[in-house]
Amino acid sequence: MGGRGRTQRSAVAEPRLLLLPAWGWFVVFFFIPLGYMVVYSFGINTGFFTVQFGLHTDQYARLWDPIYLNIYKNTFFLAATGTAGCLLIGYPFAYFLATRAGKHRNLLFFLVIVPFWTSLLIRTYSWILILNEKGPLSELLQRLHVISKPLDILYTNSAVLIGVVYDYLPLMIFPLYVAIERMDRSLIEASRDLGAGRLRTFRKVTIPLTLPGIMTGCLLTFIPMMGEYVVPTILGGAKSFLVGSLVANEILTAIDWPFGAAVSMGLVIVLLIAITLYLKVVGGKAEENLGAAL
Amino acid sequence: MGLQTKGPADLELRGVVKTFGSTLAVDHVSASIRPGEFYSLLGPSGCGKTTTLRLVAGFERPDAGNILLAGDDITATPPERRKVNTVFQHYALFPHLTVEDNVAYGLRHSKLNKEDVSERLERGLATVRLNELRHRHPRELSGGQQQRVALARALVNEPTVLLLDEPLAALDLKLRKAMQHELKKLQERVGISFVYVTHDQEEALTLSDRIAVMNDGRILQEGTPSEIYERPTTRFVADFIGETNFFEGLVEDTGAVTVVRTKSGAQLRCAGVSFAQQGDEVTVSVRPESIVAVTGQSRPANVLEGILQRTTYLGDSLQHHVMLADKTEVSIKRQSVSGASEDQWRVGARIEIGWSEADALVVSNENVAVADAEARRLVEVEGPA
Amino acid sequence: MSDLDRERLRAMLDQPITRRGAMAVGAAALFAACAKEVKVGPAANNSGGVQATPTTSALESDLSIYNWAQYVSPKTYPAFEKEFNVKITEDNYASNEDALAKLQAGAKGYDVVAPTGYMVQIMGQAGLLYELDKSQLPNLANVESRFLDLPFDPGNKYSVPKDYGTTGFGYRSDLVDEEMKSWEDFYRLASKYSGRYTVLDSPPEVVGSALKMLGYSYNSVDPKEIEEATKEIIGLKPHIRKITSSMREILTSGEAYVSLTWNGEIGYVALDAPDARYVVPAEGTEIWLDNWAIVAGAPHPNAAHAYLNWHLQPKVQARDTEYHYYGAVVEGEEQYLDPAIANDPAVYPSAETEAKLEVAEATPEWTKLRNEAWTKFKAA
Repeated sequence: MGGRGRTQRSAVAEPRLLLLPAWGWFVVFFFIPLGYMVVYSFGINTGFFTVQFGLHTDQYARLWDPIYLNIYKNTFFLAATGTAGCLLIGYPFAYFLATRAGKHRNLLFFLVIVPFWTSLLIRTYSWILILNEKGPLSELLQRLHVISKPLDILYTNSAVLIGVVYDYLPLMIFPLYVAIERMDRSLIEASRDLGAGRLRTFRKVTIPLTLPGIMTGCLLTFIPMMGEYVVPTILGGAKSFLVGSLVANEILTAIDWPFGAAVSMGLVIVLLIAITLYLKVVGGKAEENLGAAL
Repeated sequence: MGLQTKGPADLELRGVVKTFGSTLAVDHVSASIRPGEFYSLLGPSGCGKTTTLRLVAGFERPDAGNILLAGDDITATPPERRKVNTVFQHYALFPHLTVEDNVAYGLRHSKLNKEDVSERLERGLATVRLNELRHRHPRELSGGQQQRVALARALVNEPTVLLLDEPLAALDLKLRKAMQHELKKLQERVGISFVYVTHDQEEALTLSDRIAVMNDGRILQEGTPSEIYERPTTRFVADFIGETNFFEGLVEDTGAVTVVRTKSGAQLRCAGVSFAQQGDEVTVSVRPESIVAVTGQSRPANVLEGILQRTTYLGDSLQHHVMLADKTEVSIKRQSVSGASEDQWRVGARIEIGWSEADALVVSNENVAVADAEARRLVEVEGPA
Repeated sequence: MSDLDRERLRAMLDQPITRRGAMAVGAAALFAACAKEVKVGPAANNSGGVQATPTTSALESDLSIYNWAQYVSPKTYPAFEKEFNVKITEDNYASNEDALAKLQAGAKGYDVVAPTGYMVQIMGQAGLLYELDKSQLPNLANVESRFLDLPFDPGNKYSVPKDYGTTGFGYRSDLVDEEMKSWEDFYRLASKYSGRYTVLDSPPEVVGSALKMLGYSYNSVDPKEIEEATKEIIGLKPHIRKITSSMREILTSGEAYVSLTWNGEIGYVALDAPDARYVVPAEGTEIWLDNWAIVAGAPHPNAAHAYLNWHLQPKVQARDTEYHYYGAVVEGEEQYLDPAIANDPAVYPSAETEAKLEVAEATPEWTKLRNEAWTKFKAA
């Protein structure tokens, strides 16, 4: 808190020049690329590398083809279920971490962070070993008689779901942890004291009060999942075509940059809608929560 | 004290023990709160009073002992099913709910029908005069207003016992005084038993029907405010409640008068107490306002000589400090009335001070509940059985 | 992790997503038919070509090659370095498109690149390649004429051949009951071995396989034919375990039985799974040619020309073929080659087979149709 106050004072005291690096960063790494994308998305491909620029809406019209809409739908579905999965696993974990972990808290935090030190690619590949039909999970489940045949989920949508949930779980846990940790614990006691049982207390007090954390976590996981490319390729056997794969294919293989740009713009629009919803629900606390989480 | 009410006590603690790790937070606490009683748990921070309250609320489970509410054993009952409600130290109002929703929170989770809920809600809001603020959120309220919301939220549920955990501690002095008054009136009006936790002895003395003074997880003494103030049984209680002067010594004689010989050889005649045995190391407590200057005509039972060190003007009273021959400093409080004998109280002058047998209280040096008080409390707890 | 797991993980990570993976030198040749007479002759000074006479005064001291991973013998670069006193540095890419994207984005410093035929065409049109100086490439005379002046690069304006191969399929004859010979077999048996198929993660090869099965040209740009082919591949999709260009590991382990891939890949699989068979489908298929080209704006053009010319010698080519199991493009390399490889129809298809093979001819239309089909296939 004191830190924030000091920063504000110095920002007022110093000229706006101090904001220049931030703006520069935004312009170079955000606005210019985005501008390129917008310009390309309104062009048409006339040869391998000849693009006719202008105000052609052909690419956007093409997006309405059911094939592409379906890809958006599938991607949205994966991101939504993946986000829900992260929330279902992340919430109890973050809750435990914030309230019960005690002296083990640092160790558990460490374990959440450690995978980040390894390449995403390697982490994702290692799931092939785990989910393999001859892998340890398959063996274990067969030995426990949970399944009678070898586990057959590698290179399916289930494997993709497991992969994205695994990869993005920490992004869900951190904001949730901050929100839960910050919540006044006496409010839970107050609710119990007023006759609400554990479940009702969770629904009426804990969830509403940690909603900003929930929304932040969902946004932080949903956004990258919408653009996911690596996990479906590796764990899905490249069989499920998501928006990310479509963009890569249009840009790299089909060499159709205008359409690739339009597909990306479609993704940008979907995410803008998600972010708008987020800001609406979380409101002014958004900045605070994102800041605390990141 | 043979006074007994019919039926079970509203709340009864029987030998309740609670440990946190190796710390004994509550050490065999027994108490009985009568219907409609304002009962305070008074003690310094860390004495176990808040833990005792949390055990009653159900937020903690005792390691041993039983808790009975209106005769029913609730030791293992979860908090939501205990007919007790709590006013939390920092109120613990739900920040995402309006005043109205905060107050109605418990009602809506009860089995009351809609009409009853709204009737009780209105009554609750009216009781604490919050009708105007019903649609505000807690953060838009002042400290005193929040306090009233917390009270209303708990009271509308009509608990058998209301638990209050230092509810006034967060308010400034003036507001605290006003709220004390309001709280007492409210309690008399609703007739619900209050268990009130505080570290403020003045607050406890003002509000309570009975006070239990706690230290180190134990109740040292239980009684009415005047009993606690006038008849402390331990040095700790005498020291914690109000100001006092201590004289340490050995019991020389017991009986109707207990005679204590101080280290410097002075013999003090004190009110008789049953727990003192000849040869015991004890302390004699004399309140500053019980000490008078000795004039020729009347000599009290105890007279000591010293030199007046300084005088402090306290507005409605004066405070004198007298240094005795053995270097003990004695504090004396006196109404500031102008009198003929005023010249006795000259700084630097030799002065004789004294007090009666009845004003000299023998208290135990041990920080434990002594037999006298223990015996009396047991009679109350166990009742005629 | 057990040692086995570690080994598997390492193997997966090592696999370049290309048909140019590592080949064990001198490994038992899988497809060896009856050994034919091998001409035994003096190995030295018998290249038959004209040795390039580089104008040494103009030869730069460095050369930067942008290549597929492990696509030349480990002995190749040292030999050139020793002979010409030029230091070679190599950088790798994983696919033609990968290389294209890098060069298109303005990657600087590369001299030589190794694109497949259709990519030579694309890179040439994009102005990414240097027009070759034929006077510095006398060894072009060593190249079999059928590999020269092809539609993707008329007159070899931008490229010289490197090696060639086919796109067919391999299968584990110990796990598949039937003998597979054609694309028709490949598609028909998919439902029987459902979940045990893999196909390349590349549109032209997969779409092309269906076009050939249906009796159309590999290079068809007829939307109707493409649509028919699309239906076929969509019908195949439920039976596919994995869409991948690195199928070696799961075919070797027996997790997959049948793989649409390039000939050299099956050669690698057969090192550990001797029952793997490569099939050049009876209906015909793609024959592809990989090439050397010089990057436009290359900092060391003379050394680059010298390298291209030097690589077109039978002895050099044979050394690489023994390493990667893809066919050499010059005349007379067989005298330096292990006979088992020289006689392997998977490496060197018969003339009869070759008559049915087609070279990909990428045009914007061709690419677009295949990618649209691919999107439908993937989204199905």
